[in-house]
Amino acid sequence: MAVTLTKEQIEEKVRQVVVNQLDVDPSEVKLDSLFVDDLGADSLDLTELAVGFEDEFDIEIPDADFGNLSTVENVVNYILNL
Amino acid sequence: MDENKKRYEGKIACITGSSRGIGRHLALQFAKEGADVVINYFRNGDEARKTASEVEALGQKALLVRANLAQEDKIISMFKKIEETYGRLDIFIHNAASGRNREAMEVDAKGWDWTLNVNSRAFLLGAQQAARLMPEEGGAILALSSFGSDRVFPYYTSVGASKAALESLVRYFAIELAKRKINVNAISAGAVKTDALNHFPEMDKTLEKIEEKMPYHRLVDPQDIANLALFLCSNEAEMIRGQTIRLDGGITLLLP
Repeated sequence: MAVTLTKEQIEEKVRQVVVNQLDVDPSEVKLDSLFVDDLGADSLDLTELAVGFEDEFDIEIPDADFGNLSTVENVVNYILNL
Repeated sequence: MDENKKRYEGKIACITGSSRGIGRHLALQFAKEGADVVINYFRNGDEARKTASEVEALGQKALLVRANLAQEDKIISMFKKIEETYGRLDIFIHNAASGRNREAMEVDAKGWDWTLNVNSRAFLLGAQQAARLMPEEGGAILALSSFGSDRVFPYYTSVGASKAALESLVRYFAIELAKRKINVNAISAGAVKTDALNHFPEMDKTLEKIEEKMPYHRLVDPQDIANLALFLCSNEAEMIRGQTIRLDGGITLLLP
């Protein structure tokens, strides 16, 4: 992945993926919004979200890891720790 | 016939969705019968790598290919990798399946497209690519369907419709590819006990009901599928073409 991204840049890109994949208003996507409970994602949406993050950051997120990522904040921290 | 001869020695088999469940079992059974296998996966890399090492432990080669089968370019690059690695393909089994499980009135365009792309269009594109890599002596193409294609299961709308399209494609390919000695068939099974069933609401209750109704009182298991797949992809099945074989313990013959 591009290691040069700042936390803020990662956060923005993660938000953008969430807005596009879940077709929600950007204002709804807070750092701690839950993909399923707050943003209405189902299992297909979650798969597409995972693929969206993978494509955006050129990484692979195994399902076992993605299962623990339920908010924008979780995803940002996961990417920062790769 | 030499009892010790493995049925698929020297053959290359590509099984989509083979990191786990039925696909994984098929990969291992074809490897046991002497085939080198292509293990395609999408979201389960660890399980796919485990399946590959199990194939290798059986003395066969395993090529791991990650591909989202909803995307045409990923399907094409998977077959390019197969061509680069093995130079040919003898057996293509489209086992991968996905779906957004909803009642008919709740199915949306996104879920429909995804389901049809993975379950039906990936077979269309995959069979085209596979046939191109099959040698002059022929090969076999197999699709994994389910009797949701002509029966109604709760929440199964888009998957059922995708399986109907799949079975229809099997008939068209079977006729068109017969002249190239490529045999194309489908296996239609009911609920087979794998993790995939966890995605359906209220599945425990449904399974209990099915098992009770089964004339044989047991659900179809992955080995039942493998037994039929090994037969349908062999020369012994050369006069069975374009068929969807029900593997259901007889349950679909019964009235409710």
